[in-house]
Amino acid sequence: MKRFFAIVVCLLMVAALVACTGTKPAETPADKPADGLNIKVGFICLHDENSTYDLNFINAAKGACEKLGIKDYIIKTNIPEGQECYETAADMAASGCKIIFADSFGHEDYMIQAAKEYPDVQFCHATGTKAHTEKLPNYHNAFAAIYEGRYLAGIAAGMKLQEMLDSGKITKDQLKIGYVGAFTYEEVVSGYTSFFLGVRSIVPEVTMDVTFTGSWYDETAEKEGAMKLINGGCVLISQHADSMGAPSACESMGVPNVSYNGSTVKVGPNTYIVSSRINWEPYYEYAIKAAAAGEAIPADWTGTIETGSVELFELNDAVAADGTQAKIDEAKAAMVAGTLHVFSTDAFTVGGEHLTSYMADVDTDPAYTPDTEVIKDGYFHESEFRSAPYFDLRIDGITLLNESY
Amino acid sequence: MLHISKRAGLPAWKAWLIRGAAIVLALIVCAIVTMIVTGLNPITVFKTMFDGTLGSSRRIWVTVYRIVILLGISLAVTPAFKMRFWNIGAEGQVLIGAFATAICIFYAGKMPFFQNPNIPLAVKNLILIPCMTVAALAAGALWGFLPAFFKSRWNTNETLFTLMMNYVALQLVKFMIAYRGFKYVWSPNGTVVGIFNSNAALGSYGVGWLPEIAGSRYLLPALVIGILTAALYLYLKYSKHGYEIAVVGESERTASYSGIKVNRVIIRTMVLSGMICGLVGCLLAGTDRTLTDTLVDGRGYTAVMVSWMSKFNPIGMIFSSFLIVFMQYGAKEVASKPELGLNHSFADILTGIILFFIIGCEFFISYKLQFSRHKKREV
Repeated sequence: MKRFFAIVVCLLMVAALVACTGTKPAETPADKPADGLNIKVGFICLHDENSTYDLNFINAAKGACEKLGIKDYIIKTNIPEGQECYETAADMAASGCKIIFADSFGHEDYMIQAAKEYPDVQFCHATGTKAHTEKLPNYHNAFAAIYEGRYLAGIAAGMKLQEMLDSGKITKDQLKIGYVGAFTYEEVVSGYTSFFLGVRSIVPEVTMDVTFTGSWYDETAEKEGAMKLINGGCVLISQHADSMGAPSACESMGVPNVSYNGSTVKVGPNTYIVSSRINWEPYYEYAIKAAAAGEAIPADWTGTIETGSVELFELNDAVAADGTQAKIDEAKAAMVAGTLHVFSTDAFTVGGEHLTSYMADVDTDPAYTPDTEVIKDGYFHESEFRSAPYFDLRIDGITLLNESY
Repeated sequence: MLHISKRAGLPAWKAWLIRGAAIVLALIVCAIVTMIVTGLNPITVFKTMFDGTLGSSRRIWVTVYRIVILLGISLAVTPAFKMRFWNIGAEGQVLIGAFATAICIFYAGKMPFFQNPNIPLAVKNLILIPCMTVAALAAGALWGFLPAFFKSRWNTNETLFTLMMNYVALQLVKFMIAYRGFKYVWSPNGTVVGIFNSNAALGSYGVGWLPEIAGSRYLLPALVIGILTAALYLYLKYSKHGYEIAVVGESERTASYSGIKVNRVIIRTMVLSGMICGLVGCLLAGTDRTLTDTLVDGRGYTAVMVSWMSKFNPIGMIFSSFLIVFMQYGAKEVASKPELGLNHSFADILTGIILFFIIGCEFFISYKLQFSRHKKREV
């Protein structure tokens, strides 16, 4: 027993010594405001850096804070879509954060609850849908017109298909591509449809199969989904789910892949063509600046190509067809000029008909009542009446293999 | 060389001294690991842990809430453990209690009576909250009854049975909140239910939310669990039931010879366990005003540890719960500081080290280590 305590005492002394010597270099005062904004910011993420989706947010958060010279910020990762989100948000507000961001769709209700409790703090929720109906002055939604980015990525895919056709690698009746989606939510529907329309603007005969995994992050399911599509005759794959499942399946099968949220060129050096993503940095900067200056932030904020929110990663020249960049730039310029609309009613049909009118469910309610006319001036006005997508049409040319999610 | 022998009985102060030393040792090892692996000052890390759990009045409240929930579940599993009935189904029992509560809150929110804005909220909740409580108690009791009944009838393995009941409860909840078939009923958002009755424009706003006392929603659970702790302490220590549980735990044979109906005690005790779990579930769903599959968040399993660490003493559980909550959430706070540059895994390592020491020290309390010397051998 004595010996035991002797050891304890020794260890204590050593630790005390170590602790004392360790104090000096570790301290660098963070409270020096430098010349940056003096505001405390909180970020809530569903997963951590291992998810491409959350990594995209985390990088944007760090980037924005660095740019604005903000030292005092908190990033909390692995916050599920439940009471944990409320607790985290409320805790951030209570500990001095003046603006708080959350990145996942299911965080919304919990953010609203915290927003009601802390009216002096701004709560910004990416991908949410309720800000314009809740009408809280301190609760806001944001998204980006990512369908434009998807369309551009689709053009790159179309160019690749054309190249494969021209070189005789595939024949005209093999023109089928595949898409691995997570859920049948509007965000995904809007994403694969715009991608498909981008492809079809280059190769009009193309069709597409879509399969759903029922999860935002399930590497096995995504891999299996991609394999199923490839075995079903799809000659090019894209995806809207956050793991490396689909890109790695494509690489192993030698099938070209268009990615999302981040470049997957490391996983697929021989198959990765291009990736589109939402860059959240512009929104973060904008919202933080507004909060610091005490200016109002709109209930809905939709980033565009012009704000720098919709981005394409650099083309992988080893895979992409010649002339792809020029085609993309051309379409991009037309979008910015307002002459090209992704969801132009001339570009797609539903049940063989061109639409002239469509009521979408923009205001969230439990019954999913369509409430807003979204087709005007010959195109579907996506992300205009609220920032989050509401395009939920099943257009001709796309086959959904399973709809259970 | 090394001789291990069981201790006849250690004075309580010595046992606590060893426990205290274990915690100090654990912190020292954590500090050394932190230093070596990350090069950070361990004091900063501990300060962050402290700040994350007790750093502001809000945090203290949340910590109290977490403690009482963990304490409540630990209390619930204790009678069963004392009886040597391996109930590791608290996770499911709590969740099913929360589920029953959520069903009441959700469907009440759809009823005209509860939607009527002219009836004061207090009246609505005065009707609804007892219903929620009864439903939760019943659901928890059922989840406790089934394994006990099968055990006493067909001598099934209660460890497996209670464990599997956890998954049944979990899948039921997942099915209701995320399955597309119910999407329109339960989850207007698709994968999450959100906050129940939170639309301020409707008359059902606030229906089924447990009341805030003195401006804090966390006080009510604290009061309920506080009373429960005292009640369970008395029940186990002074009641006939408590005595029967202890006897059955020592030896089922002895119990049946002395005229105790063992099967009845098992079923009765498990129903009690389940009911307390159900009640905790009700507190969780009613306080958090939501239902998610992470609502219990593994605390049904952590409670097993709390109960054992405290030697089934409800008063001891208060301290163990505090300790574990402090470690877990302190570690989470450490993980969230970008200036520390540590992620969640590191926080888990720290928690692991601390638990290792705390559980390990029980060995030194129960057993004596003797380093035998050569001299002795010669004798």
